[in-house]
Amino acid sequence: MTPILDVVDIEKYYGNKGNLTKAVNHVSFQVEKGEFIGIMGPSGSGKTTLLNCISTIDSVTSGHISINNKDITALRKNALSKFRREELGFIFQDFNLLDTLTAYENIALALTIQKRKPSEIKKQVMSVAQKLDIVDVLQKYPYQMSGGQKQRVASARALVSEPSLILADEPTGALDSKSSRALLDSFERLNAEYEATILMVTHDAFTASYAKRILFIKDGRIFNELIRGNDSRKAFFNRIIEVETLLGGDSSNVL
Amino acid sequence: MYFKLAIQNVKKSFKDYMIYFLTLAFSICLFYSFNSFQAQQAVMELSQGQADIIDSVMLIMKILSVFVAIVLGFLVIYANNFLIKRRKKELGLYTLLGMPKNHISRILVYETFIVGLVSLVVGLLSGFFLSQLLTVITANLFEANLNYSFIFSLDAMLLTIIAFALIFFVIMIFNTLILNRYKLIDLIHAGQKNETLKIKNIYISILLFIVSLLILGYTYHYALSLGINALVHLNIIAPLGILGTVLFFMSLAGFLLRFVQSSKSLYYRKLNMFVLRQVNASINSNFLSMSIVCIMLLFSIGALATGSNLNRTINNTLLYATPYDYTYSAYIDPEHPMYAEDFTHMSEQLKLNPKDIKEEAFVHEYCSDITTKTYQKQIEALLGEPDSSFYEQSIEVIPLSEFNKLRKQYDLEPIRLKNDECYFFTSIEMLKELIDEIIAKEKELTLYGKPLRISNTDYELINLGTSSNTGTAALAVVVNDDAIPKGTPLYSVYWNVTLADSIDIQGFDDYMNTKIRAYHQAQEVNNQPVSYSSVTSEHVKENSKGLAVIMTYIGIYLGLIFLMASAVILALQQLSQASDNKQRYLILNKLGAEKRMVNQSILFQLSIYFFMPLLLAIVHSIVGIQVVNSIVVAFGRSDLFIASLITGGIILLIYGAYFFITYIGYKSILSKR
Repeated sequence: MTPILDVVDIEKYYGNKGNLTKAVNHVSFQVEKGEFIGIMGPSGSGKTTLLNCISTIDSVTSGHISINNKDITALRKNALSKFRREELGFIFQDFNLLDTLTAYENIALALTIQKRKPSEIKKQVMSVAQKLDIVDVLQKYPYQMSGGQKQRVASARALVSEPSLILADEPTGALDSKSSRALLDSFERLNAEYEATILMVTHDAFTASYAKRILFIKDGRIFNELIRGNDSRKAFFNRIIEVETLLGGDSSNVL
Repeated sequence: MYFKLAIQNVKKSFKDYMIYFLTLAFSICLFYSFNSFQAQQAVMELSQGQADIIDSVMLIMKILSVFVAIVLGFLVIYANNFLIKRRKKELGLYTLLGMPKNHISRILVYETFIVGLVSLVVGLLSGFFLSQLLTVITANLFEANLNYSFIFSLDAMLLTIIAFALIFFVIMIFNTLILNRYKLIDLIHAGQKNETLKIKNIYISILLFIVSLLILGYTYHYALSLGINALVHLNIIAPLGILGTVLFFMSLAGFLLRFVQSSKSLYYRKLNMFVLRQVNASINSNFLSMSIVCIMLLFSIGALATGSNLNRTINNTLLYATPYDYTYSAYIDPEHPMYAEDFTHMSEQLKLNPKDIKEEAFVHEYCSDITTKTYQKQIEALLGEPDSSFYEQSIEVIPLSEFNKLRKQYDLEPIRLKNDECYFFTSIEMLKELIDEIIAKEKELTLYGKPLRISNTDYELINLGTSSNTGTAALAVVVNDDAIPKGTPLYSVYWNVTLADSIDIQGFDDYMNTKIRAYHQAQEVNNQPVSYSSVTSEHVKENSKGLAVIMTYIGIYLGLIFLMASAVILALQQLSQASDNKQRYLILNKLGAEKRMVNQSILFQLSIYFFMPLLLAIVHSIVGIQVVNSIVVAFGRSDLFIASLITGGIILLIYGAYFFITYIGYKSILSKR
């Protein structure tokens, strides 16, 4: 089976000759269809840069990224926009909902940008709203919703166009623990029931424990990989904490 | 060091400064050009009368310029305010680094100085060129010969520099005051401040929209039904119109939103939904300025159209007002009747050299036995209740032979009348509707006891002689010469003269003025004070031209200023909202909206803000000009079509330029990281 996401030896440099920062340094990994993968790392580790490269918002310095067998590093600007709206779904830490639109319209926007038919739009918005349990807030504006509802609307917007890959950047970063849990539960369900492929970047161990596989990044390199397997979430959480402790540096760094 | 910093700042934020700079330069250009009339005189061959007119144009322009300077002052302050807002963060950084406030304001003063200096130079330079153009226009209006050379008015330049130095001075003070008011925390967090969003109830918008349309409709109807009297009732029309306009823009976005929502395929098409919501959300902060802009545009269109129309109107009228070089006319008091024979030997009695006169012709208007009361029904239906003395006026009767001679002077075919026929006409444009009605409805009239058939269905509005009033004959009937009984007293008489080529018209007029007085004094022995007037074609032309020139320049000057002001207000408002909207467009970008689609939506949004006020202003002005036109008609024929074309062209050019710059600026603000 070909992977949905294939990252091959990518590098991303910032700065100039005199002062070069390797934000992403020879990273390779693959994501299969229906996977729920987490990327963890301390701030400055390069995880957001990696996500930006995968999401086509930023370009790589070298290496290749293929999504659904398409090499996105070779696409031009307009083709990138098209690719982005058809193949990718985004969920951001600060929701990025348009405050002037209702929830329904926010979700529909992802489809109108793709120039879909209005009749089709309604059907798809309703179906995704049911999956995420937000049917009763559809007519509300973002300022009338709770943080959890907002993030679920944002998730619905990411899902509605049935993208190959959903990219979530710190999705629980702005939520309280109860809303976080509810959101992650729905992620888990989407992943299990609808085989949505989710790539989630986070630095929060609890959030990461919902993923099935976790890549740890430090200083632009993949440092470790954890696979949940048949562990309970609690056990998996503990394993994550262990790696995090390791990641934070051994005792020689402290002394 | 601060000066260097200031220069760098101006260079760096050139795109931000663009609109500010353009506005300043354009204002300076206009200000200089319209104050440079003094210098124009030097290169034109003008008569004394025309020179006097230029003097009064100058005086009026000076007075207007005080008003214009105040308007421009506010405009520049508004633009400056926009710039300061855009740079809050930068100013915050200076404060954070420990720069004292008076030093920061020194940077701002330098910046204002640099931009002011550059725009002053550019504005004055372009003003020099515009004033050349104005000179050509003036020469054209006067039909004067132009000994063309580059003109320069030191007066105008000094005036411009003083006015704008004053404006800049006010801005410098203003900036310092603003700076002192800001708190550091606000300056630093300027970028993150979110405006609180309140979505209004759409149904209220729809209701308000309908109410606004009703109010506007009623106001239009009321103004049009009043016609020329609308100006008197401005105290009712203006507030109603303003109320309607404000309500219109207040509810426009909501209405548009609901309207487009009713068509799902339109609403859920590309970014339409986003744009409409966007406009609806920010309408609260925009509707007032849109209304103001709409009303300013109305002034602008009105001023430009009337300005360019009046000159045309007067030119057209002149053809009909000056058939002869010189016309003497007398109005006979019915109490002291006079007869045609009393005037027959005028040229001999005035001791004129027959060689000086190429041609002379009399037009006698005779009193008749019917008065205007005959047509009371039509008069009251079309013109309303006139003064009671109006009905005592006789219908004027003109003999055919004299009328045909007059027509020949206008290069018109002679008319033929049978013995039982007559020809009905007027030379007053405002009465045309009435006369048309009469000749359409009435078949006959009874004159001197004989029934006469009205033979004509149409007529030319010709004057009975050269005259500075446009209408010489009110309700006039032309009949065969012998249909007028012998001994009928005169209503009025016109003695028209074409002079020999060698004779100077002005000199002839001077000579006549001295002679006629003596001539009449001789006649007053019979206790008959004659009310007479005499006029030369030169005189009529100059008077009318003078009025035309003054009105044209006032119209164009004020029109341009208002137009620019409204465009600037809109442009700045949109640009300052561009930075607030940046986040929203960033989201669109992340969602994968193509650049083209986003640009289209920006264009769509800006179009609503720019062209909705223009559209309503055009509708307003169509009604307004209709009313104003009924006043312009009082000066003679008007040609609205060409005036509209000229006005449209000017508006398209200036408004379009601002629209375009706003669009470019909007995009650049959004693309800035």
